[in-house]
Amino acid sequence: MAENKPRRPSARKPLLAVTGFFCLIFAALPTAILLIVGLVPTLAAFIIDRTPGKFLMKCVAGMNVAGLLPWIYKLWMNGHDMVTAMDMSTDIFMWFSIYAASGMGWALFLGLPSAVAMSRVLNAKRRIYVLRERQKALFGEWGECILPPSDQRMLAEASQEAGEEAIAPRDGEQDGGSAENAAPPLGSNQAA
Amino acid sequence: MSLATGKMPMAGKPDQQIIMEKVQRGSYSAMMDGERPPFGLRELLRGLLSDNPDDRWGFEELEQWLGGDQRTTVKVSRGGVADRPYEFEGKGYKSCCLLAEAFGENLKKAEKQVYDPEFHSWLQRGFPDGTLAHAVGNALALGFDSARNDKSAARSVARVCMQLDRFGPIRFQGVAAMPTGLGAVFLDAELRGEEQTAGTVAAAISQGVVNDWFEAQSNSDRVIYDKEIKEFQQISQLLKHKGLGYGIERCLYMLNPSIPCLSPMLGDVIVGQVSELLPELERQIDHSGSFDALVDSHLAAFIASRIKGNIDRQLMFLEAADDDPLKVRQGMLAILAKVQDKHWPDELPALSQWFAAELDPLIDGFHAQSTREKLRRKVRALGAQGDLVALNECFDNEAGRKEDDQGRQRAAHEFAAASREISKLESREFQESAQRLGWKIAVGISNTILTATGAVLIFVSY
Repeated sequence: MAENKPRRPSARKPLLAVTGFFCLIFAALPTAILLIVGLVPTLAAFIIDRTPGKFLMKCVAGMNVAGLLPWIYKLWMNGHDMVTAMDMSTDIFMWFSIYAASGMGWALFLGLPSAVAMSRVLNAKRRIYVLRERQKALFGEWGECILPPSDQRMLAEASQEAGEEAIAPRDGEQDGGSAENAAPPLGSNQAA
Repeated sequence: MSLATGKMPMAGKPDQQIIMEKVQRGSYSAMMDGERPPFGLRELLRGLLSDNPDDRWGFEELEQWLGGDQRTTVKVSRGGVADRPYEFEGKGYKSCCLLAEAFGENLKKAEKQVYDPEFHSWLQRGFPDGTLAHAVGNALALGFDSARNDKSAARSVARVCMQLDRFGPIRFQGVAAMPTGLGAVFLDAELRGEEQTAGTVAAAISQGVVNDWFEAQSNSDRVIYDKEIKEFQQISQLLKHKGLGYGIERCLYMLNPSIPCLSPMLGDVIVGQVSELLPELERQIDHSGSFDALVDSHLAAFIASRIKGNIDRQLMFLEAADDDPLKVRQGMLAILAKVQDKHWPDELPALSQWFAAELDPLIDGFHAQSTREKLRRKVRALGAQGDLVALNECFDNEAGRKEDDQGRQRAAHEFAAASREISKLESREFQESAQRLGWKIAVGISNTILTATGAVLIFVSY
């Protein structure tokens, strides 16, 4: 029988990452230098990301790596040595391209969900309107018998109260609202 | 006989005395009263006045006599008379017929007397062949188990009377009548308002006393009475129901097929045929605009017993309606529609419109407003046409009601589903899911750009 135990984060993952990074330093120091310099935005996003699923970090990392890749490619094409790596690290254009790409990733994270949510909310409102119209049509055709029992009780109580209110002014020879005016809203137990 | 003797036979004598004399001396002797008819007529008169139905002359014998054929002389029947009298209520009876009559008139005393050993001893000595004593013993044995209650005691006495006087009437709880005359007795009691007599006739049928009478007859006679036996069995079954269209009123109309409807609704108007009923009701409603009471037991029973066909389904509906005035009206519409369907006339606008207005609340039983409006239009149209049959089909629409109920269930289900969907769309979870979707899309775009960049670089390197 399968057991649904919560997954524990593997203790070997950070160890593997650190080991891999040190291997990279020893095997390809120039690439490692570029990565250390270029992946700072991803590291920052990782630290401040509080979203479930680390969507900020994933979004920034993708764009960050996309901005860094051409420079790593250039390094590898130019002999992959320390001098070239140091030149690149001090190249203001490289910094600009990497951080601009990361910034775009960040902007994507901040702007897109709002746009998507707005679009979905608008769709939902349109759907709610359609459903309410359909409910009105159903109520008009079938009457209160299609309402849930709780709504029917509320409707009956409201009608009774409205009837009493309608009788009271007549007794006192005062103007008052009719029972129809006091009718409860349709589907009153639903979320407004 | 008057021509032969020169005087009216038994003139001036009261009916009871005439019966007594006929029973004691035989019809021929009692009516001749010592006179001697001319020789040629003696044969004819004895034949025609024979008290034994088997010996009594009919048309065939009369033709033979007119043709001059010699026939054996018909003997004056002296059957059923004992040599010594039996004492009952201070009076001696030699004739079984008279004793049966006395038993029938004095039920309470007879109930004890029929079990008296002296009575059985008198039967055995007075009628030595033992047939009568045996038949009386059997008649009492049939009801012995339950003879302790009044009903079965009265039936036992009636059975004994039938054995003592096989050709005589049914004598039951003070009523004496031949089965074929029960209808007339019933009608007379109904018209005089003698409920007890009417109830006794109904009890005689429902408790099987009439059937006992037929059982007491010879096999050949039972064949002759076959139609009546079946009819009384049917009436007996109908008497078990107490609803409108059944009971003693139905019994009355079945036993008297020629009487008009006695419903108080009709007042002085004589409605002899069921086909005359609807025009009269139409006239009444046209005149007064309404009925005080649409249904009464006489009207329902009259229709049920005279209509061509069976209206048991409609009567059952009427019986089940209990005191619900709406259902009673619907039931009556169903019956009158059946009458219109089977008889006449085709158009009854006043009656139809009245039913359409009275049964309008039934339409409110439909849930769908469009169905109600459609039905109201249809009912108005049918009311104007005067078609009760179509109007009844409109109200008695079980399939339509079922469909309406199914539609209501579907609508309720759809309404609830819409409510659930609205709640879901307005919930906080929906808002959060929209945001999560936005994040996923952003991550997707980011990864797509990364993949594209990698692909371009690989492409450039080659």
